[in-house]
Amino acid sequence: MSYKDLEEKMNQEKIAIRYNVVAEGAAMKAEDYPEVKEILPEEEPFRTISLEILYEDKINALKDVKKALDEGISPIEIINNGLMKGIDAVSTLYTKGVYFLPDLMLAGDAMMESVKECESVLGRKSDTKGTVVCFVAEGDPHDIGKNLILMFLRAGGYEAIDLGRDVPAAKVVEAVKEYDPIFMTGTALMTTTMTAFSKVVDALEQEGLEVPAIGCGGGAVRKDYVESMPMTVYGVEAYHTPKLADAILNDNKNWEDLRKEYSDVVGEFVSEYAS
Amino acid sequence: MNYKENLINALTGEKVDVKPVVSVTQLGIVDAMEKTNTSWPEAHTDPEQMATLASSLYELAGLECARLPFCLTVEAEALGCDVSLGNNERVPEVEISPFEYADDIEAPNDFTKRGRIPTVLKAIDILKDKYEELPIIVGITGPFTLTGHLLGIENLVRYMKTDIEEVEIAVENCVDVSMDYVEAIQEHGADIICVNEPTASPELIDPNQFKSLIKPNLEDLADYIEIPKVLHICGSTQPIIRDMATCGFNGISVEEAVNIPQAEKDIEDVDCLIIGNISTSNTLLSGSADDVKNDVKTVLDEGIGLIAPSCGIAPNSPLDNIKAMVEARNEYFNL
Repeated sequence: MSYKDLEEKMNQEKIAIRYNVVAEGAAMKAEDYPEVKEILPEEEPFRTISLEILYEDKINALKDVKKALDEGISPIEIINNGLMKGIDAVSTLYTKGVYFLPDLMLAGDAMMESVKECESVLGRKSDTKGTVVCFVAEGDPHDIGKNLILMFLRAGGYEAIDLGRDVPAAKVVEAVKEYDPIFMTGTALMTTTMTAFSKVVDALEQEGLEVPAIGCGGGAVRKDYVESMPMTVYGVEAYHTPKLADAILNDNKNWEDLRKEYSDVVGEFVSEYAS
Repeated sequence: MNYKENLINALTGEKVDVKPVVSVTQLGIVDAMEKTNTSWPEAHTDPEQMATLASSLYELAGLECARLPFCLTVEAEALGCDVSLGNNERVPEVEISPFEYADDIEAPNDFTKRGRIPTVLKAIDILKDKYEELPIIVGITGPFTLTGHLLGIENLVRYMKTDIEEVEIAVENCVDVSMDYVEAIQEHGADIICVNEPTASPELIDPNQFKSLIKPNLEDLADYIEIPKVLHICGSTQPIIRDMATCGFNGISVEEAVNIPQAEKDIEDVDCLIIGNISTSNTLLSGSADDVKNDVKTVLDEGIGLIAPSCGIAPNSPLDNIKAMVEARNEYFNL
């Protein structure tokens, strides 16, 4: 039978053609991964809200957060038991290689909008654990990494000060004087700009200033280089930052401790720190 | 040795007795600027300075190529973006793009006469006149990376999930733009084109999307380039090595995050050279000459195709480390 004859017999509305079919298992839903199941809450409305963050659904997340707020549920509870759980699940899938950068950003958008909604009901910013200052290395305009860090820190309950991108050492020094942060992060994408970190450390030392740790990370940043100067810790993933900040805040860890105990502090195996 | 012949032979699969040592990525360093009376940002806009700096590491350290330009903003600027040219330590970057939608992206008729494209073309002419046996490598911006410059990188990353069609149209339009530029580069007699596609790194983009969306466009571009061509992607490109190697380029340039023996295994049945991957941060910038030599020996033992920096060379890298790269290769081949 020629294709033409066959074509006439086929119901064209019921045909779907897929080229380059590669054998693959049935797609697993994000919420079905065991690591995710462990994180997600059972109780409603928190479960629905956390799932909406997991599925990067800003519109419905906002809608359901508003609804929960109208019903009198505490904004703090919505943040901690719903939104945060959702973003934790997102980071988990990112670590597993199931989710990628676009997922982090879109889930982050959904979460940050929802947090704003909660804070508007709260009538103030939710209480923060401490202040962290975030900057992108001088000469580097790439700020995706820093924006993710801001998102994770704020989700983790920190006041995260955004110094922006392409930040000169002098501006970092000023910010340290102004905010006295418990932790600082510096990011760089390009090899050409990574050297800015040593300038920041030099400038701080010259002023006799100290911070417990400066987490340095990003595309071209290498651990050996970061560890060639004092005060710094090589940061592997953006979502590690709130955990590093927690260790400084709760256990008085400094940069030297964090270098030694990085994997323990962030609570997972980190190949860069495996010796 | 005729460096041009040797490099082209290596890239096109001929057997070579000595593996070339080159840079397919940015190679302007401050040490060389001081010695050749060139500087940034002038060398980005002045064809004489651009040509001089492009060949400076050949003159001063024996690196076996000239490589230009020193940034990835030439195409975006010629399309109408505002670019800040930076200074000695800071490479040019796109500041503001007039583009909002994929459909707006189109090369004007006089595209190759705009912005700094004439500077690059003139610098190629100068190098052609000056050197007969030194290969000229011209770096261009990959279509996906150019899309990021034009639509904004954060928008692009979000679109990868929310509006894939917009990305598809934009990247295709960027391929068209690149084709005009490629044609001009070839007419002026460059020897090799390096397509730089940092934004396609798995650190930003799902490897499956690299395969489904970016690869077909890189295939089109590679198909269009008539001279030997290489593809550079930054970061940990291990998951996309095979896809990179099957886009139709003669070689792929990878960072130190890539394990060379594993990469060779991944593409053992593909005719594609692996280029790299002397660390620009750990070794060339902050290591000693001995560190450089050790790394060169290691990659040669692993069977690397061309010895080259893993990414754009950091401007503050010492000239001695570039010399060490060449010396180590010479020692390895008993030259």
